[in-house]
Amino acid sequence: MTTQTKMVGPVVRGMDASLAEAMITAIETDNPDVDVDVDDQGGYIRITTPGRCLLTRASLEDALGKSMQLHQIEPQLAGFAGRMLVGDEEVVWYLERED
Amino acid sequence: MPRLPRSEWYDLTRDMNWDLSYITEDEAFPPQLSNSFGVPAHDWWAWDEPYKITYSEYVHNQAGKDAGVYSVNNVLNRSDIWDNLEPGWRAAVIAHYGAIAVAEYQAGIGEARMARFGRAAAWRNMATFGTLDETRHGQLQTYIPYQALAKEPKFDWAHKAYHTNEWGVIAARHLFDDMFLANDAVSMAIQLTFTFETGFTNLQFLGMAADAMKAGDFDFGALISSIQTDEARHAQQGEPTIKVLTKAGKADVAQDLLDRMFWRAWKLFALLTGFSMDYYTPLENRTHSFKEFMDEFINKQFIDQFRDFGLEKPWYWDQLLNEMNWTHHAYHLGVYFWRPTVWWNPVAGVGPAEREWLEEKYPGWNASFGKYWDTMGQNVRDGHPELTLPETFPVVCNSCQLPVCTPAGYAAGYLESPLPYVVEYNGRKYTFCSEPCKWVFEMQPETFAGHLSIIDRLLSGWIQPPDIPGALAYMGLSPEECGVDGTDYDWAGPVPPATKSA
Ligand SMILES: [Fe+2]
Ligand SMILES: [Fe+2]
Repeated sequence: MTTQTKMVGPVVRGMDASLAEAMITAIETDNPDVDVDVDDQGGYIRITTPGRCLLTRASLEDALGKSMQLHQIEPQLAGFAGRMLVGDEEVVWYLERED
Repeated sequence: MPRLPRSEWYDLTRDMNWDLSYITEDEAFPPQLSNSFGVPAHDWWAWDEPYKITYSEYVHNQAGKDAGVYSVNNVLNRSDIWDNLEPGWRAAVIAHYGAIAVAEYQAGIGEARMARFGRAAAWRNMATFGTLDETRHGQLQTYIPYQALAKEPKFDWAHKAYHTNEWGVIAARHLFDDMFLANDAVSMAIQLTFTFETGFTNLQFLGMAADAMKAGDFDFGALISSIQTDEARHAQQGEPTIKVLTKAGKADVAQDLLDRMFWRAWKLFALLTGFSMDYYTPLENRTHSFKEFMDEFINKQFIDQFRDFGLEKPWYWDQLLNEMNWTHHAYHLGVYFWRPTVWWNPVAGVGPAEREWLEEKYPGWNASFGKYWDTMGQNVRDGHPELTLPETFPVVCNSCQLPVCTPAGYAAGYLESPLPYVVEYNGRKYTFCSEPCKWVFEMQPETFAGHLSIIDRLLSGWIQPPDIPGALAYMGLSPEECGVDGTDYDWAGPVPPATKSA
């Protein structure tokens, strides 16, 4: 991880191991060309990628093995780096400013 | 049953904006309650939240969140987990509840003000959820300590603190009155939801959650991290408000609101989160130092967010970086020394291993702050713990209401002068701990000038008798409630038994 690139992505609670694991797997699937950084602090887990981080409902459902609405991640979503846009089928964390 | 994707009906269901015809805009949105900063009414209707949720989704999520927190609490409540926690961790938890629980209800009043006086329907909708969120936080953080009262009488302060004039509570009230109870809806969206909740609450509610799990306090860790999931959502009221202001050419308004509240929030967190992380959390349970958490959540995560909206670092940035090295060490020293004036039992947290850690995280600590502790430790070992207790009062800042620690910052080599900053206003002298605190006051002297600090009250004769026992009574602390050393001076090394618990 370089210090120049701004890292973005969700910060999830460490209370629901299966959802946290599924989010990591799904984010790895949805962002195939970059390294996904996972910083597990026990109480929270920071899952980030450089500049833009995509999470789709399809990948999350695949990883969980059950259907799920994206708003249902909220009980584990304690924060995030970057800005967040929530749609029906995907969530994006992103930053626009380069400097 | 065919279902429309949410995005196809969401805007329609939450948008209920209308033009006023029977009354004027100022009657519907009095500037004291909702300052438009000159942005026309219709421009506010572009307000669009990035984190969308419907009422039924909200209720479903919140019910699940509460079920999770209460089930952890139910299991642990019947265990002896609290008794087995280290004294330092207990101090951090008791300090947290007193400083935070009732302030959550107050934040609910702030959210309710935005739910009525927010200038777009979408915003009022989000703030309605925020009102319910903050009510939840108040309930959880008074209920959970309440049902553990039999184990820990000091939990009484979860409810009691804000009904007293304890000095830390005066400081917290001064801050929160400015940030939400006495703030207008638009300023509040920048100052409460953006500056405070997007920025600082992460330190106390996520940083401490990480430490809680390591300390074995799953109850507290589950509670505060669950609360933070609400904050992460309703804090999103800041972004669209900044966008509307910026689009209307008012980025300077947003910047100014942020700059003023950012410094104020820093001061309170340097106190509460500072000593909790770097001194109270048992050494083996610490995930990061307070400064490292500040770097992670504020200097990186939060700065990236607000710079992305076209805002810049506050003008006093170098002073913030400077204070991050020493201010909370000075506050901890002061809280420990004036420990009868707080509702928890402070621990020193400066045994040999802790000092090594402090020196590693804050190079120079031993040669600066360590020296004060050397003296106190010697006094304890010599059988004179009374010499580690106060007979007089500190000088308190007329902005942040916390002790002025410039002499300690100067002695540690971080400041060029040990003197406080002084302002004359309407024939009265006001004292400040730092240039930004002085600036905060000077930006709105008419708002702050009438407030008396705890020391002003002493000098004005409000506190009788004007000595330490009189002050303790004024602060609502009965002799049984006054803080004592949480480890019975274990940190100082071998002590003759007769001198303990003096
Ligand atoms: Fe809250
Ligand atoms: Fe909040």
